This record gives sequence, C-alpha cells and structure tokens, in this order.
Amino acid sequence: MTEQNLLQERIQLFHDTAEFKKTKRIPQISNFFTWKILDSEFTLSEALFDYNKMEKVVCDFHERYNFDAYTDLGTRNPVRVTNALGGYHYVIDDEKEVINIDDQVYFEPEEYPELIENPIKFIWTKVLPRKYKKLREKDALNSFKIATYEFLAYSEYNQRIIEKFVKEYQVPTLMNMQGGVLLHPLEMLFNFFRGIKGLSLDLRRHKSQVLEAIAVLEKMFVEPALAALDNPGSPTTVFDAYTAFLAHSILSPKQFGEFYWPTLKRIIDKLVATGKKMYIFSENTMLQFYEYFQDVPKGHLIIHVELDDIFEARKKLPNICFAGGMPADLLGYADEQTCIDYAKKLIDEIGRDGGYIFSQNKMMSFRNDCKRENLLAVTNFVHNYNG
Amino acid sequence: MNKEIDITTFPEGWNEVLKTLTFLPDDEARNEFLATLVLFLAQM
Repeated sequence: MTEQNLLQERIQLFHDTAEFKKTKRIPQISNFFTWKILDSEFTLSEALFDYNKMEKVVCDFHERYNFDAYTDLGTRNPVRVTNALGGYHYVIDDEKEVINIDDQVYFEPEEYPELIENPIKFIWTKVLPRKYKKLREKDALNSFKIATYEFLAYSEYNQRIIEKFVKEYQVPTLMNMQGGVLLHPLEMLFNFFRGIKGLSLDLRRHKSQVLEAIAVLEKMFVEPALAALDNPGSPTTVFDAYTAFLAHSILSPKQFGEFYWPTLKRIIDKLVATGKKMYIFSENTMLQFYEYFQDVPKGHLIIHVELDDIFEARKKLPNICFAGGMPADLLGYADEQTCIDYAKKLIDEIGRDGGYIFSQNKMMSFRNDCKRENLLAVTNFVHNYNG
Repeated sequence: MNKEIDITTFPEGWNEVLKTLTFLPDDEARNEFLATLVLFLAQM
C-alpha cells in the first residue's frame, strides 16, 4: 500500500463506520490531551510554551501509538496567546502535573441587551478587557500587538502540525476547524461568558433574554458555518463539522427542548440536506435527551460519549455512530489483559456492524488516566482485531 | 464569519496594529481577522 492510500484508507474507514458499513477493522481516535505531555520527556510548561517541543510531543505520541485521527495535536491550551494579554485562567502546576481552568464569568445578567445588540462589539469592549487584565492597563496597545503575533505563531503551529500529520504520517484531520466548528450559542454563554452558576440562574430568571441571545449568536456564528456546509468537504478531513456538548449538563429534558434542540435541529437538518457528517464530543451524560435524537437519519452524527454507558447508548440510539467507551479507569489502573478484554467486548458488542469508533471515555489529561503499557497493548490489539 | 462587523466601531488604535500585518490587504481582510481573533480570545 502506498502512503497516499493509507490516508484515503483511514478517511474511508471513518466514513464507512459512520454509515454503519461493516469494516475490516475499527478506526481509533485519540482523545488524549495533556496526558501526551506527561508521557513525554517534557513538563507541561516546557511543551505548552514551546511549539517545537509540543511538535515533538505529538509526533512521538503518534509514532508510539499510531491512532487513525486525533482530537488534539497540542493546540488545546494556547497559553502563549492568553498569557500575552494577562489572561491567566489556565493555571499550570508542573509539580502536580495538572492544568486548572477557572469558571469564566465575564458579564452580568443586566448586560444581555448589549450582547444582543452587537455581540462582537460587546465581546471586544466588555468581555475581553474583563478577561484579560493587560487590556485594562496603560500599555494595552502593545500587549494587544504581542498577543496578535502570538496568535499568528499559534496559527502557524496549528497549520504546520496538521500538514505534517497529513503528509508525513498520512493521518487525516478529524474535523475542519476553519469554518467547521458549529458551537451552539448556549455553549458560548455557558463556557465563555456566564459560567455554570450564572447561566443556570439565567435560564430561570432571564429566560427570554437567553433565548434572544441564542438567536442573535446563532445568526452571527452558526449560520455562516451552516452556509459553508454547501461547499465540498476537505479531502484530508474526516468529518465536515464539529461541536461539543457541555451546557446540556445543566438542562432538564424540557429545557433541552426549549434552549438547545431548536438550533441543534437546524444544524442536523443542514447536515442531512448536504450529506455531511458532524462529530460531537459530549461531556458528562447525554442519554437523558435520547428521544430528541431518535429520528436523526443514520450516517450524519458521531457522538463521542463520556459518562454515558455506551452499550445502553447503542441500544437506545441505533441510528447514531458512537465513539469512546474505553474507560480511563482501566487504562490507568488495570493490567494489559484486562484492558484488551474490555476493548474486545466493546468491538464485539457494538462495533461488529459499523457505527462504532474506538476511543477513550474522557479527555485524557492526568497521569493516572493511563499507563503507557496499557495503551500500547490496546491500540495494537484494536488495530489488528477483525471482530 | 459574519462580514458585517466594522472595525472602525471599536476602540481607536487597535486597527493600527492590524495594518502592520502586511498579509491583510484591505479593511475587509483586517475586519475578518479581528473578528476571528476576538472570538478566539473569548473562547480560549
């Protein structure tokens, strides 16, 4: 097989799996984030502040484990950019080997009308100065200039590492990050502006303004991304769109129907109309909302589940391709054979007829999330197991 | 990205930084770059 064929083989493998076709092996997605650094010769700070070291981390990781695609190539925590503006919300602790990210609350409920009137202007003039302290200082212009160049350096690294994986390793990009990110407006409010507690209260006390903000943010950010789905997909990218479920964790099924589903339904309808596929990383659990997804046609959604029982998920939603399932608890604490036995169970029970992508059940971040020998054993087994 | 954003509406001086980026040929390109950067900074 030529190198070029390997890239195409991987993409086809993912597409066939998402379309519930039986494949000769199960594709594997790496859901490893900072654990990759802990598995390398560098500390967290050394890798996060030096793109050459980060490149070595992700390349060594691929050469060691040989996944078919990656949720992260060292770009998840752009601390050089955020630190340039004094945004120290990523707290790196090299001794404890963790990165803590603060809950982000940057505006108050009475400011919803300003957000609704002009979201970008509001973010630029209100949110960013609150988030980045150097934008409030006398030398703000110079800090902005440094951050702009750091953003360009970050973008250059991102482009370089993607090209290296595509050309040198024949590993496709998992999702199209340029225009393919379809983040739900409620996720923006939850993750970047109002925080968990703030948004939870807003849903009850400021319902109409939250709904209005969702509508405005959808028009500004989601609609252009939906329009881009009319274009042909990238030949080196596996999935056409990407999103993440996090805000759903504070919603009841009824609230999911009010605040989340209408926008998500429009996204799904567009995916179906254009014959495209979207990869969703679902933190926490999502099966409490399974009834909403029952009528989604096969072949368009891939949901990476975290805390849901993936065997139950398969039964409740036979129309959805699932990713994940391999527990960090086993990879981190069990022996190799126990891990292999569980991987075999996953493939035998939910992967025989397509519709299952092998991956880890959480964003692998901490030292005890995994042992190297277990990961080597499991990735090798899955790569060679035909079911 | 929605192209209706006008960088002239934002605080004076910031767009001068973007004018030093020679790969951005005109206001439209600078406008789009700023919107991308603003969203990135808000999300990271």
